[in-house]
Amino acid sequence: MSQIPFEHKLAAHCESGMLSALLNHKGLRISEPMVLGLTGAIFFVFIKTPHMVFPVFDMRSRPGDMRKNLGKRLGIEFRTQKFRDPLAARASLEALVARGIPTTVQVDMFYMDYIPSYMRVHFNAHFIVVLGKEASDFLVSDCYYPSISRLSQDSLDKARFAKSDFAPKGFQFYVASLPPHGVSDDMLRAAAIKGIKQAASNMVRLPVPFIGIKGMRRFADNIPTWPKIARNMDALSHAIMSIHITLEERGTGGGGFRFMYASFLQEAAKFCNRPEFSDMSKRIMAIGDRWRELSLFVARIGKDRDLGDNRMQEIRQMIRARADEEEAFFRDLLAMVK
Amino acid sequence: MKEADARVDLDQHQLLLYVEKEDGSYGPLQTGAYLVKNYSDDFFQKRHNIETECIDRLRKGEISPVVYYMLLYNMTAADIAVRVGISKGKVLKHQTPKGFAGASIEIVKRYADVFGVSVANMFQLVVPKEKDLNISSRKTANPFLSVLEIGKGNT
Repeated sequence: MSQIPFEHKLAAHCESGMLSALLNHKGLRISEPMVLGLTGAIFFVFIKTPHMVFPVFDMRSRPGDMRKNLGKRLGIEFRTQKFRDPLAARASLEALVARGIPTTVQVDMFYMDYIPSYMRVHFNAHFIVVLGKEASDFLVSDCYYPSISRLSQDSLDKARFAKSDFAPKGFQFYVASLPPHGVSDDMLRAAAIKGIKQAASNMVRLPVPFIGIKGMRRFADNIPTWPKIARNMDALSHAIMSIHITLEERGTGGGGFRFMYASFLQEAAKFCNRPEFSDMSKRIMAIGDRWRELSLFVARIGKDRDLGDNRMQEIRQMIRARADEEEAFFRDLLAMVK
Repeated sequence: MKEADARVDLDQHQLLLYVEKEDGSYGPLQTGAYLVKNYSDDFFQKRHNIETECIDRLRKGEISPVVYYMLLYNMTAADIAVRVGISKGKVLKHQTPKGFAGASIEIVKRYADVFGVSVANMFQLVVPKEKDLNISSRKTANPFLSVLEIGKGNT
């Protein structure tokens, strides 16, 4: 089987980057920040489950929501499938790729053999695009990796059928069709306003204690309990430094998606002819800078093992300050699109 | 974030950040990973500390390899249980050599898959006595057999 010609690029985030690449392949020019913005995917959620040693947080919406919202708002048809049987999943994937259709699969990142060992963690909601097969290896485009990579079918099978939170269950999808008359400027404008409204509403209006600004404050208040959870100083340091990874290096574009969102607002200001979005893009860029200050701070104190109660309180205060800034920002943004 | 502040010189781990360009526009910048560049030594030191602690306890028979890999990959018994497809109680039982002895070979295989190692590595430690040896485990079509390749240079 030959490899489907496909423009492989590094992207900030696997889902938005993969969607942007798939749609560009199909002929719809759309940037990664546009995918993030149109789908209202900027977010905050605080998560604490028995499957995690420490609570975690995320700054984007639930995996899969970007695809669903993009489909609804731009009239794109994505054909999706889930499987129970790994062999049936593999056969279906091979058939699609043989027809020249780049196909996205949801995987557990742990089994991506080509990534460095320090990046290999069990995370079931990673997305890669399959482009071909040579002998028993699939050829995949993973936007966290600079080149098209080989992945053994054994590893891909395991990755597609890993269990636990966000279990992929063999999930795959591809772009079946774009709107017959293309995506008009009006459609883009309407999608941008919907996306902004959804994002701002999720951040400040949802009455759920672990989502949006409320979730941010809950996360902040949880930090001082971490020394009690940690089995030793190394474990606490690892958990604190993981805040940096979630904000900067685990596919956010930096500043916990805030920089990428600033890029979207700057783009939206032009095509929506709403100069006020440009001012908002500067504000969220500045907020992203302050998230990055937190990232650099936790990396430093984590390495120095400077993790006393006073430091935990400092982190708490920094996150609460970000929450205050973001509350004001998203309330103002919501008022602009009402 | 200004473009100049985001640049990190590290070829082996590149990522994409969104930055403010010199002309005031916002856009992508491919650059090195800050944490990897500045703090990877700390990450590997922590791993080494876990290995040292666990290998000592493994040799003394205090823990089973399940604990070793659980700590190495920062996982919980609850998560491992779901991934292996057994109860959390069984995972806790398998954390001692005595309890681990009761696990079937099929369950050990599932543990090995979750930890990304060969079945053999659930029963042995590979400790090179010389520096600069390349050690790699190669899968075979037989799910219970892997080939351990050891050599100098690229194997």
